[in-house]
Amino acid sequence: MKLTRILCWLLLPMIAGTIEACCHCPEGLKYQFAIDKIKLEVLDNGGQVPVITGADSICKKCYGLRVELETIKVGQQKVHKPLFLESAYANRCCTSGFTGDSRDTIQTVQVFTAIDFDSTHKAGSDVTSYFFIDGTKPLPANGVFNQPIYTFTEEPMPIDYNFILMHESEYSQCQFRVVVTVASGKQFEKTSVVTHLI
Amino acid sequence: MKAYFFILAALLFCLANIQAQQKKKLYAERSKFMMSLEGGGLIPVHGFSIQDPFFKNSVNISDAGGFVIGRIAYFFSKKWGAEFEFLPWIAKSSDAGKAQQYLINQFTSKYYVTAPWPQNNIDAGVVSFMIGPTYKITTGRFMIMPKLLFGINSYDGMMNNYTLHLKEKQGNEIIDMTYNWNQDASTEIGWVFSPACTFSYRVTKILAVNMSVNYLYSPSVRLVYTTTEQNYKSQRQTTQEYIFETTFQSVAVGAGFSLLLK
Repeated sequence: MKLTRILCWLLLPMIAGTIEACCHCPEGLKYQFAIDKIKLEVLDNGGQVPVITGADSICKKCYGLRVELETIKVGQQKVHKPLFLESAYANRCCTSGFTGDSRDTIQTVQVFTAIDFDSTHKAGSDVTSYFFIDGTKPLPANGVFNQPIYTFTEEPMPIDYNFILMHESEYSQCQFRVVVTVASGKQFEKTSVVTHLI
Repeated sequence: MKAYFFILAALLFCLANIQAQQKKKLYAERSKFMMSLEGGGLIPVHGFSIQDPFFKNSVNISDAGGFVIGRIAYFFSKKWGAEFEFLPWIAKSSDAGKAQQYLINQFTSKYYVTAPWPQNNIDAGVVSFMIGPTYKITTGRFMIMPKLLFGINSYDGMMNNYTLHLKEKQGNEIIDMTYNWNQDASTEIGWVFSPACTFSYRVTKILAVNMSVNYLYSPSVRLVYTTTEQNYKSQRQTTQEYIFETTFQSVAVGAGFSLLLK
């Protein structure tokens, strides 16, 4: 009888730890991500869906850009430790979710033509408003994007956008420079290859 | 002597049976309430091809549907009574795939078309509430009840938000074509007139099996449809309205059972 009582007293912190773990479910571990690199590729939107192309020339009405922002993990939330026993976590009833969080916010996205585009947009002109995200939503003409960066897995995921060109160039070739500015003021920019338009 | 008793027993048996039949007949005639439940199918006769404005009669779509009838009849005399009928039904386009293909074919030369399966979008729901006089003819276990019903039809859910997503071939233009039924501008409640007949066979004193035929006629149904073209390249939305005036004629054939109550 005495032995049972002693065992009960010894198990008490374990039970308390389990109850505490069950009653205090964290919302999920948080990871913070930031933009690391920018990648720019040319899209051929002549088919049903846009595809990345390495071809020198594509159809004039099918041009697009794929902007890929590579992210890195820059922070991780401290893991909650049980008050009594570490092993209480073995019995925890909470699911171990995690959420992405962004340290960076994309403030502006701007697209400049690197070579003459039409009579009103010479080389170096801002042609942001000529591009639509996925061909449906115009990029804001002033470039203000204000989009937080989220990656929804534990591992950093690239954030990508398809910028579809909705105006035809007056010339037979085009090249664009994309500039992404994040909240910290850091700028990422990349220039696409020269593509012949047919 | 034996033969005499045998004949007498046979006569008594027949008499008892006739009396029982008469009692049953009396019950059938005396029962004041008749509650029925039936299920069945709807055979379209005219003009309820709900997608006509879009298909311009080039697709043969019949709106064969399924229905359930709930019916309560009250007989205030041996023969005459009044009947209330509740008939909700769903018209399912028997050729939704063909209809979809018709719409798609209008765009395939210039666009890649992504289309949802149209079945759920082009089903129509109609509920009929009808009331009218009925006459009961009883012969043995059989009852025939011709009737003349009047009432209202409530129309709902025809061609709801059916969207075709169009992507230009060799181009960046994207268009969403949405086909809709404009419920506010269409007939939501319309008159319905229905000569009908129910044939019943009493299985027991209170239970009968039925078969009924209803001819449903709605003199004027106004259906208004819209097509909305959302062009993402021009950022313009254009809406076109189609008005479709029709009559609705259909034959509903159903079977079920009835309870005869005093």
